[in-house]
Amino acid sequence: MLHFLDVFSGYGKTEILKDVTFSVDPGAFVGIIGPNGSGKSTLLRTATKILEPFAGEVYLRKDKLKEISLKELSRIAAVVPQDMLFMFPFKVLDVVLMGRIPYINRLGFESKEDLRIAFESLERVDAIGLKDRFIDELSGGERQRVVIAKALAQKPKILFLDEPTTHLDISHQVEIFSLLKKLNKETGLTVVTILHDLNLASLYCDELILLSEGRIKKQGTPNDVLDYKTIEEVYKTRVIVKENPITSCPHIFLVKLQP
Amino acid sequence: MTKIKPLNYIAALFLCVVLLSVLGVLLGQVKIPLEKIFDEKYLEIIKLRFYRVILAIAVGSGLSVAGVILQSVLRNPLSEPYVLGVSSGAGLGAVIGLIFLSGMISVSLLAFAGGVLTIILVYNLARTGNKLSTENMIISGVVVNALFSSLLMFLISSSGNAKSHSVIWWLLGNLQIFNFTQLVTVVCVICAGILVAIVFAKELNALSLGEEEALHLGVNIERIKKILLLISALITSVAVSVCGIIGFVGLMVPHLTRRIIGPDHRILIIGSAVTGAAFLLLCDIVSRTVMVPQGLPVGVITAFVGVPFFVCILRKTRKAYFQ
Repeated sequence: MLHFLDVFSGYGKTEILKDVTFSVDPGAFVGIIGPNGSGKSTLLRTATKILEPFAGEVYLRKDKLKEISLKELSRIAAVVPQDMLFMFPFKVLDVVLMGRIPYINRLGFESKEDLRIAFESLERVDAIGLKDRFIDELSGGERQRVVIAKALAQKPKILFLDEPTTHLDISHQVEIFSLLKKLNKETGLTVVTILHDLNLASLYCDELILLSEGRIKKQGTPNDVLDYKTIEEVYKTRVIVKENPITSCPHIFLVKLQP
Repeated sequence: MTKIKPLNYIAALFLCVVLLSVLGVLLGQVKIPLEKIFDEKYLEIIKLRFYRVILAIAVGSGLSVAGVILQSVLRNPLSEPYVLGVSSGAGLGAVIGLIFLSGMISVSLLAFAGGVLTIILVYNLARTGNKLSTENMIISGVVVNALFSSLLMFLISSSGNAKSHSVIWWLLGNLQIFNFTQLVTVVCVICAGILVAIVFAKELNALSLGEEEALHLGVNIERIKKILLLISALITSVAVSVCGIIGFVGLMVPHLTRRIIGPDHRILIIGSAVTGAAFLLLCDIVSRTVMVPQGLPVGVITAFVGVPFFVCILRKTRKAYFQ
């Protein structure tokens, strides 16, 4: 689905990602983890054509990313940012319909089909009841569901998310990730998400990519990646890793630093 | 927030424009009774007032659409042609023409050149590499605006008394127009500008979600920003070139219209155009009927009429608008 081959990337002249190679299979649920400044967002921006790699090649499905036009890309990949800032108070349905922009022609208003897809997307995220509300009246969790619905309206094959639950409380964190997992399982949507919370990553992701200083430190299943030695080395803090008694996923416990 | 259907609103405002146009032809220093509208002796007055009404419609809708474009492209609620220095750039060009040259054609051309050169200057000041940051754009706009405003003041204060009076009068905004060709040029440029804005309405919607979000929706933002900034500069400078600096319209009308019919640019642009046309027509009628015989510059009226109106709407729809 997505394939990075010896990719170097960054901003202006500053190189952040160094020699990154990985593959994401269709239908996978992949988490990108790593400390602040390790290159997670740079990786996401390179994968979505916001940044052009300095060297190396990114492939999306069978094609080179650089040969895919922005418009084509917007029909294959959708992005959910950490927190979408709405400058104007759009209605929820209007926001979701903006996900149809890649499909509607110039001057055109949305067709019945576009409207149907928007409703369907709202239903998928369980937010159909919000359709006539104004986006600025919603709570953080509701708003993030709407933004995901907008992304789904793009009918993507792959969904990128940049820490989608950073501003949410634990119940909404679980709600959003369960929703993503359901979409992933039911529709085969490939999900690539940046995560700060290692335990959420462990619970929901099939596969993790751990970045450290712009390089891939380790990749594999949560069990492979989340061992205490690796975590301590990359994050430079003490942790204890134990098995979650219910899910048997690895669970990371923080250790208080001695003053 | 609103119960008015956008299409009803646009239809109502369109009707207002028609009614105000009729009033605009009939009212003024000399009031023309409706039954004598075809009277031979009023023909010349009616012709000039008709030009004036058409100009008010064109300039009012043009400045409003320029404001809509800038607020969305630069993602800043304070954006309008004046803040970005386009108005003062065009004004500076026109004043240079008024003082050193003569003839409306050279004044118009210089105003036009001033406005377009200003947006190019501001754009290049704000640009780093190939990317344009909107924050930089606003800051360079404010700086360029300050520079041009003081240059304007300098030119006015160093020119003779008689000249400076006419320059100041012109700068305050005036919709008087005598030349048919000039009127046609203004109307054509503004119509073309509004049409281009409508064509890019979908992209403006995407841009109001943010630049990266617009990219993710397949919108080539750098190219579209360039086109739209140029369009708003064209509209503004062609308006300034004939009627001086008319403030407040470009800022107020988009906000007002957005509050009533919502932020979807596919209807907002048309809604703002009719609102701006009706508003400037109204202001022009007021400017011609108070303080007879000399009248008032319309630029003085726009804020006088606009602010109470705007405050009213603001209080009725009290709501955090821009987060």
